[in-house]
Amino acid sequence: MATTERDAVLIERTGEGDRDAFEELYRRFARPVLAMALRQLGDNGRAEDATQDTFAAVWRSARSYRQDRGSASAWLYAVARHAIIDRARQRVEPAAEAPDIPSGEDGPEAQAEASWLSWRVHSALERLPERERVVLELAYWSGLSQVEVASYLDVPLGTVKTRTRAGLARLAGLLEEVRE
Amino acid sequence: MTQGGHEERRRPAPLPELVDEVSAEELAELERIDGILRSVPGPPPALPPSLRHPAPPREPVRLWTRRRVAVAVALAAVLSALFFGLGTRFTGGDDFNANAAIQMDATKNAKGASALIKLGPADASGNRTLRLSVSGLKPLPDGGYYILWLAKGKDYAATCGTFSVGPGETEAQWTVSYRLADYDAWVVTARLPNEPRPENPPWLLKARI
Repeated sequence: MATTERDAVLIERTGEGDRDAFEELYRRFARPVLAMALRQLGDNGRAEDATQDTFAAVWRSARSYRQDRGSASAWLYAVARHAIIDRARQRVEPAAEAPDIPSGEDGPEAQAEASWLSWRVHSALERLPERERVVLELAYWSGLSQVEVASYLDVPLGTVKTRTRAGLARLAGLLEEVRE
Repeated sequence: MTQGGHEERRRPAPLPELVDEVSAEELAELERIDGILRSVPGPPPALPPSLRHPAPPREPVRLWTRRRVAVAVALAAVLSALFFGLGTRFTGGDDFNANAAIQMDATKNAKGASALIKLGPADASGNRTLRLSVSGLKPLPDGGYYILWLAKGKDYAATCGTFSVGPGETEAQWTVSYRLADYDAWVVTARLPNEPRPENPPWLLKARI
């Protein structure tokens, strides 16, 4: 069964009250949800709360999921986004005047696109075998060279390159529809 | 392990340093993924302890599944039996606020033993207190103890608590957060001191949920 179908089945089973399915969904998506929450809330505590809120909402509303209306990943993304927005609204902002110079940040549309892309990538990473995911994370987000990755993991350099290549190729399949 | 995109990070090595000996076609595909990976922030390093497991779902998706109906019927039957027969065991002069009670029967491994589980109402967080009154079990050697489990099939699925017994009736009380509908039976087993944990300890007392 393809991973996307598998995710859809997990949501449907969660909707039927299957806790094992719910916990598998959690294992697969908790990190991507937390990553999104951290980026948007910028606060560990609130991001963790938003992650828990997300999965509480998943449990409550999984019955409403319909495969024919969109992918499981998109549905989970929407649930997470709502939970994070709800958390963001709870923040008490200090009173301040808006700056009168244009912000250098992306507009809402670009931010939404970037957020969706990050979600897709992080969700796909969670589907990689651990050995491949680790070398990619070390190379891309810890900035380690291949030699350093090999040293860190205490495996031969050739193994690191093989895993990197395999991981990238697998991601290519998982991110097939993401075209720049 | 990773820096999660929250700290300034070193740039990843160029793709040719990450992979080698690939065809031009494969390289083009890998470059697409390489570009995507470079454009997104890293995932968080690992789930913090507070997120290792999902919070126990508290709101049931379907209020009346077949199993819940069966459990409700079984609980109603047990309550009726208790009111008409055994009720005085948990209502007479007892300060424990029980809204259900389950009689546990001895197996052939603990003939003559018996126990009663009293279940308190669930609080707003889904926690409920249970009190076990047990008699007829042998006191175990020093360091040994009994365990009350929730079983599913033949598996010991969740531990409610451990207890020791003395002469006469023993009471033990714990707070648990399990959904009883997820399990099949209450069981009591024994753990003897200085012995490896048995894979399938014999059931001493049991009650169906």
